[in-house]
Amino acid sequence: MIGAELCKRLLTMAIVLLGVSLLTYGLVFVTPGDPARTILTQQMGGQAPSQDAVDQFRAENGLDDPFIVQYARWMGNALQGDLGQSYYSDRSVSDMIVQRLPNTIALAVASMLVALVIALPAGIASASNPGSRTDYAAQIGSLIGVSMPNFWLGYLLIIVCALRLNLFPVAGAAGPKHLVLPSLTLGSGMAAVIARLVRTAMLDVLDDAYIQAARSKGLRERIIVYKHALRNALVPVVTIIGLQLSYVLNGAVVIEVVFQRPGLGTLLVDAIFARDYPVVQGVTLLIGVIFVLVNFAVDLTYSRLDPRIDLGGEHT
Amino acid sequence: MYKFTRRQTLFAAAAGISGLSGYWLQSGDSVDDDTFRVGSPWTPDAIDPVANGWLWRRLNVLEPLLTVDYDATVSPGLATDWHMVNDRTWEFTLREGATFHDGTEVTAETVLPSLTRAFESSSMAAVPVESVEAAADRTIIIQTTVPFSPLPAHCTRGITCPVSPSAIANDGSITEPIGTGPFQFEDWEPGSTITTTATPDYHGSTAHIETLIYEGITDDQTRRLKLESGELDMARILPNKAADTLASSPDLTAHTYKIPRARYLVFDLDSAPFADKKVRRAVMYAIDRDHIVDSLLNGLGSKAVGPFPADVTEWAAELEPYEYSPDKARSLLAEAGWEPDGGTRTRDGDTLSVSIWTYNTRPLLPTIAEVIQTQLQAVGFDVDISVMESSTIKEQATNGEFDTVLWSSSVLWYPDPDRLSDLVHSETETMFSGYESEAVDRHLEAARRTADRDERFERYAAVQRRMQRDLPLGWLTYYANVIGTRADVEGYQPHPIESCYHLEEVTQQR
Repeated sequence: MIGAELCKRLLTMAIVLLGVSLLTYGLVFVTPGDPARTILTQQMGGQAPSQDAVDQFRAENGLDDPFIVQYARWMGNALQGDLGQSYYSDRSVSDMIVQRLPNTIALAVASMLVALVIALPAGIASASNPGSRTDYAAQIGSLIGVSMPNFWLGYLLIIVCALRLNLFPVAGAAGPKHLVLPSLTLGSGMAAVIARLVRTAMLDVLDDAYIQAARSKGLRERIIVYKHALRNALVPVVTIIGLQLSYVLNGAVVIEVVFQRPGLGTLLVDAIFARDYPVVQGVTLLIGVIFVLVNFAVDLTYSRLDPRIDLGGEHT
Repeated sequence: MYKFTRRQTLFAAAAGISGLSGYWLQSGDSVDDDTFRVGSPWTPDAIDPVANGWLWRRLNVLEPLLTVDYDATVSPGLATDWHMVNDRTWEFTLREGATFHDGTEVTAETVLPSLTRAFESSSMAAVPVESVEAAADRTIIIQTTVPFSPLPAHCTRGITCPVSPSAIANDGSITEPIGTGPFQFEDWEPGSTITTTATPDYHGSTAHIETLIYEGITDDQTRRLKLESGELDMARILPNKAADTLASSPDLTAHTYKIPRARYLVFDLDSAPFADKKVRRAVMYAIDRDHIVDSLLNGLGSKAVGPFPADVTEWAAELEPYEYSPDKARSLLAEAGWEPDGGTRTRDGDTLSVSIWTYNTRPLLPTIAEVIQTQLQAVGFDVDISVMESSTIKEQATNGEFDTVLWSSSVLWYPDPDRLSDLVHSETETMFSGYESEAVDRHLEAARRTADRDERFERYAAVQRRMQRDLPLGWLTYYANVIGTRADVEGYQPHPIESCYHLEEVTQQR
């Protein structure tokens, strides 16, 4: 049963990805801004190209073909694992992605760690003592974390931790030291969201009858919180962690620019501004794949955390 | 109920954060004494001179046949001599004793593949080169399809820089930027940094600094902060307002200098109000350019008269400036039939409404547009501003109607006044005003045919005067660059058109 369900899932994933690629390809295509003109401008150090240059570039790169031809050509190659060549640098898009991906993954993992390390204790503590000072402090902290634009926090951390205290480098991606400020910046924003959710989920669970039953049996509160309540409270938390991945990828764009990290975010932004279609398409497709896979992973985790949730859905 | 004490909560959070940050100690990025770090907004994403030659040229890893001197004129590079053989043939004599970084000698044979590659690329499509040949061991002959005296200026462009034949793969791609410059390629991280080292057997004087690291840092605040923290020795292209802060710090030096780049209005000569020259002139009289320079540009840069700033290049013609005079603007508008009707003028029931398109990747353009809006409103225009992406503006303005675009560009990025052809030649212009003037075309074409400097100057001056009268473009302000360095950096001389940073001249006392 689970095998068939998996196949169905995989098929849906393929269809979703096809839709994503068609949509993004189409959107990039209808966005005003001629790639030939934009890329030549960039190659010429910012100067406007002549019409001859534009025509030659369009012909060389098949940009005169109708949309559907260009899309089909791109998709056909992508299915064979070839994401094409950057219009600007002529480098293989897959190579460019492989080169940048580790930086973004490191940032994502480190930010998620920062987020969880702050959010789980804060959320549990405030749910365990609702209305206490700890609770208020955590909630106010969350509110600040959610509302603060992360580029602003980034500069703040740079000025305090890098310029005044001289603890970390301002920006760059040379080593783990360079990861601290960006992951604190990105992670604290996520922590705020996750902490609020952990609090709500824990409060819900702590109200449940089985917790009351456990309490009435005289179990120690620590056991109740960690062994019985937390596991169930984690189900929605896992979802939000999955969703927060989108936040990491969005946030990475700003954070990578501020902290000068060569990752997927900066690659995508540069490619969009340069109208470097193959790169935009390649990165978007990858992000689409990551999203779909994470959603899938989240679903799998559900059933591990709470056996009542079954992927099969038919024999429950 | 189990209670987490505040201490426990804080401890957990602190442990996590310090656990993560704990291992920062492992990686040292101590600043090497002989390493010079320069940061600028452009991230390196290509090794190929066709895509990124201008950056490799700026770092002086690659060198072109001809270079640009500090007075923005063409001067010898890998070629020590060049001249026009007949009106379509140019001869270049290569320097003796120059070698590529891999030891290959610089000869006509070895530079030929790169030159051919460059002139065939789409970026050079506007340069009418017919053939490039090796005529003798050190002689290169370039033929053009039409007489084309700006050719030497185009031979200063990064894209034309020769790389060693060994760097060109069988499929025509470039594997490594093996050039001839005082710095040689060591390593790069795409999108982030380029590392180069001094070339030991350079044909000129060897660089003082041993290692040069280039960092592409898009965000100008980050660039400035990295300079302040000592992670950079030079931060290029900083906001004008940073000049004062840099100057006030004992550890830093601000270099500000004028460059041949201008902000200007491009009028659509088909747009209803701007089809009338009087209305365009009224706009020029209505704008207080001194005010823009003083209040928005921090006093850096200057108001523009024509395309070329006279204090940077000798190609500027003497032109009659449009001085700030709202009264003159009002009377010109009245002459053109636009009569005051409340705040906004009208003519035959139409209001004098215009839109200004501009973009924000060049800082301050939208703010300048707002100042212009206020100043134009004062004489009876109704002005609306749209901020779009520059490539969108270019596409829409080329293919459709607009009123006016506030644009910024270099007016000498290749050091030849033939740049005017890009602005106003009826067939080759890239600035979409739709301007057509037989006289201007005739001068531009004749100026291309001769290498005689005086004749060229006269013709380009005539074009500038006519542009000033006809106003397809309205010149507003010239730029100044702000470069910050650490105070111990010596020997840096800013280059007017930035074709090369010349960091081989720089020394640093630590």
